[in-house]
Amino acid sequence: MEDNGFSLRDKVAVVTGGGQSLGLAVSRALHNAGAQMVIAEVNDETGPDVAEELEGTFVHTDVTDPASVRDLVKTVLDEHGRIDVLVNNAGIVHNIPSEEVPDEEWLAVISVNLNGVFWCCREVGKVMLERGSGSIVNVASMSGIISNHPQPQAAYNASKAAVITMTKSLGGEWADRGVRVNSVSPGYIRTPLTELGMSKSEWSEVWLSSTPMGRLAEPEEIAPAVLYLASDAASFATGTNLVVDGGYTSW
Amino acid sequence: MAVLDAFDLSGKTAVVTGGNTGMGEAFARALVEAGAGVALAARTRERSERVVGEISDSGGKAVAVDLDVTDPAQVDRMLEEVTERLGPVDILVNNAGVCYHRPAAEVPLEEWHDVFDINVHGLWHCAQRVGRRMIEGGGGNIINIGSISAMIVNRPQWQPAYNASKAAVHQLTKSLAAEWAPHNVRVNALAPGYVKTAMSPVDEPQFRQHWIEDAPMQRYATPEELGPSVVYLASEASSFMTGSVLVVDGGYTLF
Repeated sequence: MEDNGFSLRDKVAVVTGGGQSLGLAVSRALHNAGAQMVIAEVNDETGPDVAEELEGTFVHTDVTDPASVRDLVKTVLDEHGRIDVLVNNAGIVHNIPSEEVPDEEWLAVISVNLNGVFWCCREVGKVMLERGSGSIVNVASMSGIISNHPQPQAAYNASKAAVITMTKSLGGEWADRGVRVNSVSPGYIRTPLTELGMSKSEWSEVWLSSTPMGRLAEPEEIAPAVLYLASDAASFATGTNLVVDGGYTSW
Repeated sequence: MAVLDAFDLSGKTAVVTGGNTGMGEAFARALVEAGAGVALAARTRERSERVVGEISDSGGKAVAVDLDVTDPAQVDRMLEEVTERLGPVDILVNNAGVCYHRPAAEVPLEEWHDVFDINVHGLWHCAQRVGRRMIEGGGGNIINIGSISAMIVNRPQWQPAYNASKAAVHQLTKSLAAEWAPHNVRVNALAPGYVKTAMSPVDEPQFRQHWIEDAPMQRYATPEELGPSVVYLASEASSFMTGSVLVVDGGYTLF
């Protein structure tokens, strides 16, 4: 078929957390659409393996550390000279009742899910603005719109709401300089993050019965949403939050 | 699987209401490019025939079908005709719509009714009748064309009926999505911003400040630019997506 604008042929794409879970599915999809992949990953075991599989580059990256993010950008520029696509996918969740959340747990979630996304947007955004072109896709969550239950996860939910609004802010700020910034908000996906919950019937029953489609998404069902936003197919979209949740937030 | 194959519509049958002009025409062409056989269901037969002719000349599969969406009997006839000529309908794009610019206090009753007859009741007739057939057939995919006008109030022009009608479209999208998810019928909406069509005179100087200069991207879209968004919604690439409103507006609703 004709690619209808969805191709990333010859583009350079960076995916944070690209060695695991949803990030792995996204990395594979972008590679499959023609991109040269940079796997920015804190995990030194999965990262190199995925980079090898996709004939790309692994760059050890801790998104919570601005210096590490700057090193990532420098490494990619040295090798490729540019960054066309950034997918901010790295994220963590802790399920702790809010009245008991230790300070360091709250800060850890915010450091990865919110601060990490901003450090990457800022550093990569600079480079994209200089060239006057680029597309950033932030992985938010339906948790930025609704409050998940029955499991407690206030920090995660707050961080994802912040990512959605930060995406709108950066989208507005950079729109007339050729850099698009959008977010994808998935519902429940079958990943290691949800494995624990699916093993507890008191959680999984609520999750499934709250989703009109009555099932979890496979990571491969979310990856095309990231590709759509990353590619020229979405050239008029910026600041948009694309919800892919099996209907969860309709109820 | 090659990820681009997830966007492929080969072997699928699609209906685009109002598919012979403006955005509808661009959606029809994009679906054809992605491999679908497409029925342009619209008034003004000659225009439909012209677009179908161009699509056929370039090797695509399209047919022209007469349809006034406000008449349920015509919707039934359209469904039979498309099923007969192209096969069961897999994808319905509810695109037909009208808009009038007029201050609320001056809107004549018939204009108010016209907007709701086409934008809401017409969309309902198509969604219900085609949706019913999709449920019987084991599944399908409905894409409603909403608007940023469902989320913000346009200016400087007043268009109260249009704005209210599009808000109805967005919420009906969610209602049908939740109800029909167990039947494997997905329902989503596309909410475009300003797109250059006969319905949106984006080039007129009195609209330039608010429509273009005050918006983040500082430009309007061409209808063709919105085509891939409909392909994404219509294809397996969005298989877990239902009840969503996809906003593609150059950032208009951000400010």
